[in-house]
Formats: sequence, C-alpha cells, structure tokens
Amino acid sequence: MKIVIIGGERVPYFLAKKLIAEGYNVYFVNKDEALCNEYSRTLNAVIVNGDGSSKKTLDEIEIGPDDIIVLLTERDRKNFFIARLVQEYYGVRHVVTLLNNSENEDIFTRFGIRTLKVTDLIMSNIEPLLFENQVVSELESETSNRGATVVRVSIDWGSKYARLPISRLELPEDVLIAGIVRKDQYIIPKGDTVLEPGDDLIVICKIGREMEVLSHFSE
Amino acid sequence: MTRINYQFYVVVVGCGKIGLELATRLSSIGFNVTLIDKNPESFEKLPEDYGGFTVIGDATEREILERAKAGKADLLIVTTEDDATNYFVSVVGAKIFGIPNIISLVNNRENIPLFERTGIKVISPVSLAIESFEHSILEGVEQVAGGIK
Repeated sequence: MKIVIIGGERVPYFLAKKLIAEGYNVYFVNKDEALCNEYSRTLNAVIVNGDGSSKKTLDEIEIGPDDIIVLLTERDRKNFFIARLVQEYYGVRHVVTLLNNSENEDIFTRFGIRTLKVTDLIMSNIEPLLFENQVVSELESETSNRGATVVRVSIDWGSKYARLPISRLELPEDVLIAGIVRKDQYIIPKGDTVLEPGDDLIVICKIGREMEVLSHFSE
Repeated sequence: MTRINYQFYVVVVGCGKIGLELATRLSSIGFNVTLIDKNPESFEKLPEDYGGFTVIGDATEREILERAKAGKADLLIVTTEDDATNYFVSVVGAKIFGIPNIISLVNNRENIPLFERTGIKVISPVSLAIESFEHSILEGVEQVAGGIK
C-alpha cells in the first residue's frame, strides 16, 4: 500500500514526513517543478513532477485499489476530477480531499470521497470571536449617544463572584450584564446563569460609572 | 429553419466559440436558453437578436446554477475549455439539480471514458474531426472502388 499526495505546497511536506517516519510508502505529485526539485532533496518519497489530473501522470505511479490518495489542490473541481479518475481507473477505495467550498460536500460524499472541510474548520474557530466582536461594537454604537457605555470585566479565579449565579451579584443601579464570553461561546445571561472563572462579562452602565463597575467586580 | 414549439429549456455553460454559437442557434430554433460564463465580456460577441438569457458567474458554484434555474432545465450543455470544470458542472447538474440530459465537451480525448462511465454524453472535437475525416476518406474509397468495378 502506498500513499499518494497530489497538489498542495507545505502541507504535503509535513504530512509526507510524518507518514514516512511511520514507515509508509509516500508518493508526491505536483505540477510545480521547483517544489518537486526541493522535495526530491529533502523527502524520502517518490516525487513525480506532472499534472495529477492527467491519466498519463497517474499511470506512471501504478496506483492500486489499496492505495490511499490524498488530494490537496486548491480547486474542488480538480480534486473531484482526480478522485473520480482514480476511483474509476484503478478502483481506489480511499480518497481524502481538501474541500474549499463546503457547499460541495454533498457531491463528494455521494461518490464516497472523504472531505476535509478547511473553510468550515476556520469559520467554526473564528465565528465566536466575530460574534462577540459584533455584539460589543453594536452595543457600543447603540449606547454611546444615549449616555451609556460598554465595559468588559474579567472574572478571575480569585473573584468572589466566580461560581455565583447572576441574580446574586448585587449589581449597582443602572448596570446590566449583556453577555458572558466563555471560551468559544457567547452566553446571553439569565438570573440563574452561574459565572465561571475565566468568563468575560460584557457590561452596560451609565457613562462615568465605568470605574465603579470595575471596582465592584474586582473587590 | 425548423421552429420548436415545445417549451424546452437548455442551460449552456461556457460562452466560448462553441457555447456562443450553440446557444445562439438553439435560441433561434425556439428553445429557451440561458448561457452562463464567468467573463461578462464574452457575451459581447452574442448577436443582437439572441433571444436567450445570460448569467455572469462561475457555474461550479451552486448559486450561479440556481440563478440560471438549472433545476428546471431539460438539457445541460457544458462547453468550457477545462475538462475538470466540465466534469464537475455535469455531475452537479445531474445529481444535485436532477437535469435529465447532460452533454459535455471533452477537450482531452483521454478523459472521455470517465465522462461516459458517469453517464454524461460527450462531444469530443478531436474525435469528431477524426471520424469525419475517416468517413469522407472511406466514401472516396468506395467511389473509386465502385468506378473500378
């Protein structure tokens, strides 16, 4: 069994290195001649400089049904085309591909091609940050002309409020907790929401009373 | 020219030499035609009396095929110069939009089997040229042979 990596730039290098260290037979196919020259010096893999979507190039590698094909080109259509080529011509059972546009997942799945949804992965990592940022900036723009402001308060491990429900915080007048940022989540608080060490509170208060709020939470 | 009365809807992908001419002809025969190309300038060569629609965008994106109402198409014709694009659009057209008839241009002859195995009808300019040559050569030979007899 061999592992054939088609396309990509640096990811295949590190992937190949790991696989080679584990004793696998690695093939690397890429159109970029300079990259192929570099990898032929640095990687203990079979390097093929050619177009991975051309059957002639693939024929050179003598792919068999048990081989694993990893597709890392930047275009879904190209990865799909190569995946179908190796399935149809060499009976390959295991194809893993990079998926750039997540709406294409259905078509890959239909043909039994495994996908790595990079875009979704990145989105799920930055989405909470974007949401939090958006909430805070919207709150700021809504409150600033109306005599109120937004303050961010961290609840650290020593805080006497950690592990307390919101209803027992005894907040000063005109102070509202609009949200709790906890790891990846933005929590809309209710009276029984219990604060945890590490939480960041998004607090709305009257302009001029920011220090009072901060000192209230740092007591 | 024959006119078709039946409301047959054709989506043509790629406004190159072939796509442009084909869409123009199909439209003048009476088909409902929508032509998709990612380059807006490619539509400038369409004749003024072209009666079909145009959609600017990349047909490998669902949104663009939706805008072209691909779900209602009776026939999808894919004519770009890249076989991977043609294959992808053909498969999405058949499997996702359920278009009953797909015909695709295949630029590189070695890719024909893949298209055919997936149930896509193919038009290969090189194969067509070779067949036509062969046909007219054989016809000539027959005439010569007939003359000899």
